[in-house]
Amino acid sequence: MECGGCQLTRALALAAALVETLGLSPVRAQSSNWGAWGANGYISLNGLYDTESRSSDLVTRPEINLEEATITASPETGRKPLYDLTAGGRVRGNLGFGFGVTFGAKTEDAPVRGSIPHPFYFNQPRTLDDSTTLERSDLLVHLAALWLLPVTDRLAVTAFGGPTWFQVKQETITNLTLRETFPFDRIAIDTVERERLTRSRWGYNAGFDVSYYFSRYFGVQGLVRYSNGTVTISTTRAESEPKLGGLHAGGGLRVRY
Amino acid sequence: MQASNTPLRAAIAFAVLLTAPSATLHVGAQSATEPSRIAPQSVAEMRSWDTTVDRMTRDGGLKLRQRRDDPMLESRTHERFDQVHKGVRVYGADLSRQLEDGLTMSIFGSVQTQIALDDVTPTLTAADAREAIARESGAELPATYEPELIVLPLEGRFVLAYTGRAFGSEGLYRYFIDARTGAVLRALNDLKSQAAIGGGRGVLGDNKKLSINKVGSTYRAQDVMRPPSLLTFDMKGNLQRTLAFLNGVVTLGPNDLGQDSDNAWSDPAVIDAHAYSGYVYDYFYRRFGRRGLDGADLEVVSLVHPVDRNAVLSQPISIVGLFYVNAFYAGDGVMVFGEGLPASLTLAGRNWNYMAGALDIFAHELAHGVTDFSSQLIYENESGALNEAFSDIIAAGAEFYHQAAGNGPLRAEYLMGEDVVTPGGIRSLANPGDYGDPDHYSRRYVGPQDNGGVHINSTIVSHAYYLAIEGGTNRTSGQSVTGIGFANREQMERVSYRAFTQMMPANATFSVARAATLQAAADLYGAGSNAVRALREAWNAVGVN
Ligand SMILES: [Zn+2]
Repeated sequence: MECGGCQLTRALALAAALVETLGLSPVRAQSSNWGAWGANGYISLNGLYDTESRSSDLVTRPEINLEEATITASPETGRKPLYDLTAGGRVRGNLGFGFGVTFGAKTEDAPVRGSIPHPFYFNQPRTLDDSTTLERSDLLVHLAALWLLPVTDRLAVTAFGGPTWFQVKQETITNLTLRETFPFDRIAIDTVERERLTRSRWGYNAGFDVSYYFSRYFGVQGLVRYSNGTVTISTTRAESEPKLGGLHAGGGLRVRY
Repeated sequence: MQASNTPLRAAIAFAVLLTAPSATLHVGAQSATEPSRIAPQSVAEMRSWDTTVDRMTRDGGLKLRQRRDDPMLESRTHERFDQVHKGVRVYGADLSRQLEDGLTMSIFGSVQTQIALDDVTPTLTAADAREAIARESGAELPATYEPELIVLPLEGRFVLAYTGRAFGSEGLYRYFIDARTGAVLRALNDLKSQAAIGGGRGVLGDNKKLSINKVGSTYRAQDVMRPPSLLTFDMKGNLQRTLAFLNGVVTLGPNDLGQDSDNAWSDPAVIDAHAYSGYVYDYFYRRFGRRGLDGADLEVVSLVHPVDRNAVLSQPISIVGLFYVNAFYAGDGVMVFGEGLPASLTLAGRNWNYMAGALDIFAHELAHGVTDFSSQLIYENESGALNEAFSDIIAAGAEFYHQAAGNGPLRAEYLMGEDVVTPGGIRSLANPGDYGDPDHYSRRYVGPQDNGGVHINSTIVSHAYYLAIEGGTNRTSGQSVTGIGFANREQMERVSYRAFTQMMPANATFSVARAATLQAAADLYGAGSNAVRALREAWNAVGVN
């Protein structure tokens, strides 16, 4: 089991270390300095990376050779690049409201293990150990409360947290044909029938960013966001509980207005 | 026995139990044609025979029939030789030689050393002989049917003869026609029969998978997944067509195959025959590395519903004995499974179901096919009993391979045909005496019936096989055997397979079988192995030395 809280703690520690490394010891904020917000708020465009290695077992139970087969595909769903657009606006004092959209997709080799019934005999399944490719995409819509801490006129740190709406599109195996020959002891995948399932669910996000402005409007930022949620993918032929979100880290351009 | 149908039952009992060959001449052992039996007891004796074999092969007295690599022991090969006299095969004279890297390990067989027959030019043509066989058997024989010219040892002399098999009203016989006079010398019942029966609903109601060929929207009982084609034909109770096929007058086509429209099969005899055909192929393949009957994936043809079960009361006795309460290997990969009797009829106090419903019967018949393509054990007297014993040994082995051990339907034990001939089946390897069969050489049957007791005396050999595995005390001799144990039964299966298919000559005696199986056990498990010891004790216990 993953420990969501631990991830968050790790993310914050990482951020603290980053700030330390850059020699940016936070200065006590002065309540009159709102320059970091700009006039109204900011928009940032980021490239993120899903840092976690994460696989979920996608189980399918098709009928093969008059018996129920069990096929488990375990695609790696983490470790992928993400595109992120985030905006924030001041509400009052250091507090603000944020909105973000994160999207990522990838097709990767998925180990496939299975128990496949024998063509000639009942209750004498063969073991399948092969791989295939499955596509997966994640769309995350974040809402967040922001707390912005200006360090200097150019530098600010923002902490945030709130709900996330996850939408996952996951390819699953619905059935497969095998490469097999007499005496049918050793088997491998020949073709795979796939189905794309779409599921959505609410979860949460929390994180921080560090921004540095070169000019009045333009700057760069580093962003670390942890999000978490699970969905249950359950149809008559497939079942799984993919874990969503994860620790996303990266950076991009930031514009204040 | 019940009071009803007594005449029928008595008549059928005769047909089933007295499979006497209608030999036109009585065959007696005469010294002039008694072959030299080869079963060397020492290395020196074997070397001497080895030299003789090489010399005879050079001189054209022996002809290599087959050379096969040993599937169990690398670097070993097995050769089979036929004896030929002036280019004509000598019937019943052959030998097998086992080699390791060219060095002879064993020789078994028999050869005729003094053949007094100078002229091997036949007066009759093969076509004349075919006519004679057709006349004698009552069978229709196609123009392509070609009897083989042979030298036949017969009553102390050697006769130039034609031989061929035909399926007539009396069953499947091997006929011997004098190549000079056209006289019928012998008719040997060549039917590898298994008087047992079987089939409930979908093989005793159990669920089986079938390897099927789908053509268009029709599913046909043709296995196209295993290396050989396994075909199950539904003769739909048409005896005339069954006979015409067995005699080669008609060929069967795709429409004769068992068929189903939705692949959820409903005919229990077709289901069992088709499934078991594959089960037995798998057994031979997985246990012994053998690919089918001929070792080269020969097509296997199973016929079910050869007759109409409800018409049994109007059938001649011979037909009832062959096609109702019987199963047989008809040669060339063809097997026929009897229809059984209506539930209201009993025979010998037993019910007879579809014969295809018993895995052991199926394995027994296919093992006859294996014998046909290997040792060719002659189907009479002791060699015939060995032929039958090997089929029962394979039948038991296949049952234990595919079914859980135990009593009752679809359980493996040492009974034959018990799933379809109820209650009790037809033979027991564990207690032959319970069925009136001998368990000791001293009790062997020596009369002319049953081809010289091929079924009756088989239990002396198969009981030794049982004792070598399970151990126990022979009821006749009182000798005890410590078996290798049920868990090690595969050893004795492999020993038997090796000896019977690779080392035994066509005219082997029980004594040769003892020597060959001990050699096989020593080859596979070592001269000092438990297998050799148990086997020696078992042969001793049944009085075969
Ligand atoms: Zn038989």
